[in-house]
Amino acid sequence: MPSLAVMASKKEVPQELSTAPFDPRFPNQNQTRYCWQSYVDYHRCRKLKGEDYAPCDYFRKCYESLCPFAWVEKWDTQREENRFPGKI
Amino acid sequence: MKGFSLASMKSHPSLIPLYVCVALGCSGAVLYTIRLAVRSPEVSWNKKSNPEPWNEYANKQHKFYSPVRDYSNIESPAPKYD
Repeated sequence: MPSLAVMASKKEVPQELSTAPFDPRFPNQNQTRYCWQSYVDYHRCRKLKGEDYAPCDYFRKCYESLCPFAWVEKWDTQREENRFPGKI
Repeated sequence: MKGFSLASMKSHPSLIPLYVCVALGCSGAVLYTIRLAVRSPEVSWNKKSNPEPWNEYANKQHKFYSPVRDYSNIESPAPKYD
């Protein structure tokens, strides 16, 4: 059984890990609004500025870090079926 | 019962700290509920004119005590696209 030190040194640590930064609009423990707002902002940004506008990606990275996958899939399905409850 | 009206409190002055504590507690609860209603970033009284009330806090502090960061120059990191 290899020692813990050996096992730890074999693991590669990926560089450049990041997550959604602190946003003073959502200061409390419940971050569901931050997830929702990032999702909605991403799609509004894409609709307004087109698919290639780079600053929109900030919102995508935020909601991909914050939102549960099930919610993102559900909202994507709702958007495709034109019954998404938010204004995009 | 004696001690409940302003006049009879003179015969039961030991009830005064009780009244003070109850008054502080009740006013604290009422005032904090009012603060939540009018200052909370997630409460909107008119969804047509204020659909996203959290935007008001893009550059100011909501919590009473938050020593973790400096709020004097804070800004929401989200890019503005409109």
